[in-house]
Amino acid sequence: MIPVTHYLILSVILFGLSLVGIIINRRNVIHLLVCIELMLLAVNTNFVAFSHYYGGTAGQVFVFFILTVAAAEAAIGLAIVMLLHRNRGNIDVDKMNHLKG
Amino acid sequence: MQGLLPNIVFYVFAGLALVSGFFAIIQSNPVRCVLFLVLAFFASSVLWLLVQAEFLALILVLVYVGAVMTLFLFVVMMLNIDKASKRAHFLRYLPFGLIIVAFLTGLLLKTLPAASFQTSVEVSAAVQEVVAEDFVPDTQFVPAKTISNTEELGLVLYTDYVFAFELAAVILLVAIIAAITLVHRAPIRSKQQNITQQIMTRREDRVTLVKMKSEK
Repeated sequence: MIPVTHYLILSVILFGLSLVGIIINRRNVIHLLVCIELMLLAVNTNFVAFSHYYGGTAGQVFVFFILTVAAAEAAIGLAIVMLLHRNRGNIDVDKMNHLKG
Repeated sequence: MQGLLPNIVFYVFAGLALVSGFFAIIQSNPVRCVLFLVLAFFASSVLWLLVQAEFLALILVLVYVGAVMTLFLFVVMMLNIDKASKRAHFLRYLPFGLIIVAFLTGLLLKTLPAASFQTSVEVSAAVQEVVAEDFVPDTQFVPAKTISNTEELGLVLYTDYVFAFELAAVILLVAIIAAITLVHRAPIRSKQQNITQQIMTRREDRVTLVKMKSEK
């Protein structure tokens, strides 16, 4: 018997790990995108576990749409990374100060 | 799905997901980082199979690992980023980050009441109660045919969530157009003719009459 709590613990640890990844790899855009994907995976695991716990399909439908949006986000993010690399030769986050933000 | 086997499968693959997630964040090489992420996806797809979300588990492997992660790998290998980021920067923040993880997990464990969600994922008490209330002994009762997870999802996806489904399609279309417009580059030495330029050409641009003295 696997309690739902164990799924929750697993997903919160995964989410925390990816948060740490965002904190410690603040230089590389690729690493940031990978950490965001890991975060979405943790959230999706939560959704799937609760969807089965409550016996409905709404959670799984939500996961389906999250996967769709994540795919779109990855495609656009990688396109921006390619553009950055083509124009500036590096993809360091520290040097992205063209907008003077 | 009773017995010891699901437990073993759950803990083995949960551990695998955590370990590969950890290695995915501490790798400095982007290719290895993405490969560890793929391993984490595989492990959690097994976990999703365990809660009978078969369609999503297979979608995760086929579409996500097969398409999105391959796109990641393509971009990482195309960019050829050899210059690994500085390790010192990274090691300085690692203990701080691990403290954050411990804090978040502890917070969740503290917040959840000890008795809640202790029932197995396979048997939900709430669902059983609802079924018990709704069940009316009927002479014409036909035992419901068990439908597969894919069928169940498809039944609600094309009826209740059809608007969201179409919005998702539009989002994907916008993503395609945006990605192509961002990275597309016109070919440099193209032989394509520029019609406007051809029409707008004037005689003076092309022909010059030169008057020369004839040689004897």
